[in-house]
Amino acid sequence: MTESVAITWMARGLAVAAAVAALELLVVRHAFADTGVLAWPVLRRELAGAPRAIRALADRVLSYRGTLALMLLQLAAALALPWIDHPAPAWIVLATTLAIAIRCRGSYNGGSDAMLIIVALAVALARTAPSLARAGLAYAAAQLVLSYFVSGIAKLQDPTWRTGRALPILVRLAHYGVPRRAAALLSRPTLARAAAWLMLAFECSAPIALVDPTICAAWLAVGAAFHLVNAMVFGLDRFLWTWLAAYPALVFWVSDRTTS
Amino acid sequence: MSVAALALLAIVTLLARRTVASPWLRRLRALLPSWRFFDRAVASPALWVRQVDDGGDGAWRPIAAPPRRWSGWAFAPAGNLALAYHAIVEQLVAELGELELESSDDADPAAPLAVETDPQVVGLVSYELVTRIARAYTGARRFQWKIVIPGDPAPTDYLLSPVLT
Repeated sequence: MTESVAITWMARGLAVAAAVAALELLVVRHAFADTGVLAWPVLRRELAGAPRAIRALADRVLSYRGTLALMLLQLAAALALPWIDHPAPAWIVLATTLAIAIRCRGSYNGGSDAMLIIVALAVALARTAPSLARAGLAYAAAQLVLSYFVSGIAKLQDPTWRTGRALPILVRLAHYGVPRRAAALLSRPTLARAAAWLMLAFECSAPIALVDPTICAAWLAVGAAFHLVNAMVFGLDRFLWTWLAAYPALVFWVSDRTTS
Repeated sequence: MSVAALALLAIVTLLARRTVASPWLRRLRALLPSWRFFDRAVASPALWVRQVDDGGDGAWRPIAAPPRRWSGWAFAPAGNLALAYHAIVEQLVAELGELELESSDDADPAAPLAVETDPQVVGLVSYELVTRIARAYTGARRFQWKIVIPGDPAPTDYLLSPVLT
């Protein structure tokens, strides 16, 4: 895979991920109104320690009207990404994602916001200066591998994961709304233990994807299935789209490293 | 060279778990992800709400995720909003834990926080946000919320709001 092909596929993936994120926010925009839960007049109180210029800027950009504009801007930029070979849409996706995360006290959807920013940065750098394309792709590939590896190592340190008791706990958490049949299935001790160890093995083995393009492709195929299952069971749809968007960076990096 | 860069990034990522004291700097954490998904599989605090009418108090009910649609694996605006709301509840519990630690320095450690009246507590942005979540879910003129911490043998009420309007 060449640099330009990798960037093209990342831009397409980013377009889907950013459009889904923007559309989801627009559907629940009532929560961002001054009468909603995530009202700016309440949230802005946490900026009391920030410099005055930052507070003034935040009041303009992160008010309800400003936030609606950010969502629409992100959607427009996402739709433009596959068609316009200009850096602006990627920079806009990066900036709007970061601004919405800042408004939501650091993140709206956890790690998916961070990965969206990473993918947008890689595409933006490549389209701004082709000489920076490799650096952007390397950064995205490294973060992709780390996202699995760090998560796997962190889980491995918890006896609840090692003994297979983790999944039955997680599927019962009301805020994930896990479908009843899936929850019942993953609460079976034998299956829960097997699924937990499969997940640990998959996540901790992320660095082997760096070894060889064929291994990398196979490992990423398992990864895509992993995210699809997560989306179906835990409702983590944004992680599916955002992580898939980052995959071309790793494919490029591994094929480039092994051929050079 | 590339391995060294990856190792450096790994160290930065592992350090990213450390908390940042300033609330407005904490808002930039999307730039420095920690990637520790589900690293502690524990039952997490849950928000319960009830309506309070003139005729009596309604039953407590937990706030749960909205029903999953068939398309929920690809597009889940209400589900992701519910996750964002749950993060606010967890943030409030974390902030109250910090307040308890601070107050225990110069006060009787056995004395609980006077939660319903303590301006430190009701003045928290998280407290206001949780109140707004409860209002959104009950849709009632008068309501009350509590945070329940799951436990063995029984869950405990961690924080009970006054009746709010």
